[in-house]
Amino acid sequence: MNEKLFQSIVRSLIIAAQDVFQTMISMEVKPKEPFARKGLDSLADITGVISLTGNIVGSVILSMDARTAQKAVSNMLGDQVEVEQEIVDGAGEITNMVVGMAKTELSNISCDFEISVPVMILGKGSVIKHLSLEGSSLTTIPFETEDADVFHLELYAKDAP
Amino acid sequence: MSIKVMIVDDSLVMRKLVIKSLKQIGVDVDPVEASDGKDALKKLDPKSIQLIISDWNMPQMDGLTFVKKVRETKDKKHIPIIMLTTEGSMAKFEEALNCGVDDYITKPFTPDKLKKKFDKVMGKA
Repeated sequence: MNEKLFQSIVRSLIIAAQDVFQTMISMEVKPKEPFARKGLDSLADITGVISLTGNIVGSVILSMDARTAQKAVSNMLGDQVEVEQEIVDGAGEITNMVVGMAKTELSNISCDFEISVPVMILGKGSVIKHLSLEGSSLTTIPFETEDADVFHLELYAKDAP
Repeated sequence: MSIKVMIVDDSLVMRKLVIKSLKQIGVDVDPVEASDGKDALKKLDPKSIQLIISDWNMPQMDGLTFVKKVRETKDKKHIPIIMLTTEGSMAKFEEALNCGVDDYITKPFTPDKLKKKFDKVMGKA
């Protein structure tokens, strides 16, 4: 994949994450410097994985620790959420909205792909089975919330075969 | 008088959020929840449901297939449908309208955005 397109995908994901957190969660989030990593392990307690299929193929992963996810979902519903099932479901929906919004933005530059429903993985360090890096690496974008919590948005993408 | 609204979304949190947003915009909502198109078809009583708000990407049966099935059914095709989805491209918007969706809201959404579409669709209904 050419670097310009890859950077457009990264940029769209960053903008989408900021928009979703601001509009739906009333939370300002700031992106930090992206980095590459080889691991296939989840970076936090609750991880949503969405597959991309189309002009490009790959995955987008959103990992949040349980406390950050609980805060985000509670903010979204305007009510303190305690039930784990709801926190996980809400984290999946946040992942879905971020990827969906980035997808819409990328369709303007003819980067078209379909997205899967989010697959949720529980437990920090769990293997993300739905992903095969094929010798490549994940691009990880850390985000910091206004409460100094950190969550990670990760991208693996390549041209469709 | 309350309005019976069917909310179709595989996310429990999103269904809750839509109900909360409808209440926030002053709708006395009597919700019927469904987790995908298949579940929605089972629960859809055409005599009582006054509005459907449906997601697009769902397991089992997606929102577009669900809309097509509703529009093909004589006693159900009159029910207004708003699609609430992350699918925001013009191509997807047109595809949904062509299948019989009355209006379209992209996620993320605000209660204000929902109010505009709700008023428009229910005014027409």
